[in-house]
Amino acid sequence: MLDKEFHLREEDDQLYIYKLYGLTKPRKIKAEKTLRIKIGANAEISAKQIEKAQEIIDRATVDFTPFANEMIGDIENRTAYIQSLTYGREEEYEALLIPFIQLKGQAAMFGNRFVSELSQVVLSFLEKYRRLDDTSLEIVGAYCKSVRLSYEKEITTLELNNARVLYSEVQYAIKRYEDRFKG
Amino acid sequence: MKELKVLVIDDCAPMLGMMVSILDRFGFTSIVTARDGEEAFAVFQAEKPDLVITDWHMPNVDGLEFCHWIRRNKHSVNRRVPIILMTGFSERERIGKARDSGVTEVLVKPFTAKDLARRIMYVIDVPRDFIEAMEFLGPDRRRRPDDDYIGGNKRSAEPIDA
Repeated sequence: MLDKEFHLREEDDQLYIYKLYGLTKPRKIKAEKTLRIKIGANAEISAKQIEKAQEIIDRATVDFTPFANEMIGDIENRTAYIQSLTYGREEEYEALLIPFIQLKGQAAMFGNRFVSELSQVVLSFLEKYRRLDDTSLEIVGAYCKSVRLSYEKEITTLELNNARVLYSEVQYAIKRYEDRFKG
Repeated sequence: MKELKVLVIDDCAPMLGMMVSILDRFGFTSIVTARDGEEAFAVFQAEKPDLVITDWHMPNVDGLEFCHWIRRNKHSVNRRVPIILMTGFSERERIGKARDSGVTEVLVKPFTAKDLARRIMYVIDVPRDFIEAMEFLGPDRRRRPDDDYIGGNKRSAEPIDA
């Protein structure tokens, strides 16, 4: 195991060294093609290799549902907690975003573009307003219901009719919020 | 690619497995993994990888904190190792925060195999100068000269060549 010194995360050696020696000027270390030299002049990732790697993404057989349910559960629990707060809600903002980021980033990697795109819509909304009032939390609630339903009904792309209905509902809720905010 | 050792860090087991499979198809044969930044510290020190690919959001020690540690801790076995950060964030402000922490490249999820290959080859073929300053330690954030820029110098002091 690493010794205790490694775990002192607040320790910042760079700051310490600069202060110790009274250094003020930044230093620039010229880049070297160390990795290229290691692999040789002609080594590359070929189009064929990329194609084979893409097949792994396209044909991912891992069932992402348990992970998605865990993330949605996390969002619902955090939302319930935030709703119980009368002040200091914004302090919970960053923590609330994390499961959204995970779902947006990973659902599509495991065959569900619908959840990724829906997560992006709600994420953009939250990042734009950075408010956790009751109405924005209702939008988060609608999102959670849509994601759960999408896994239940195996909705994976926006091309399906019921996918568009779920997607539009969340979008309209955001639009209503924005209109009210403008007014 | 078999000459390079890659460290992949992700707390999501299916994602970690997928990354290993993708890198395997790219021709990497030496791939080591960790499930969070804290575990990655030990693996990084022991394995001395040539390239690090890490997720941002992880329990205990996240990707940015791990990057900060690699760059700034005097015990780090390779402060200048290229770090590719994977994240679902795509907002400019967030990407800027990642760059300020010293990551080399940011890869926004979801991504394609081509996106990942492009980032890896970029890190290999276009290595960036490394800046050591009191507030910042990492690859030079100025990727190209901006000939149209007419304002003053944003840097408090120009770096000296080391």
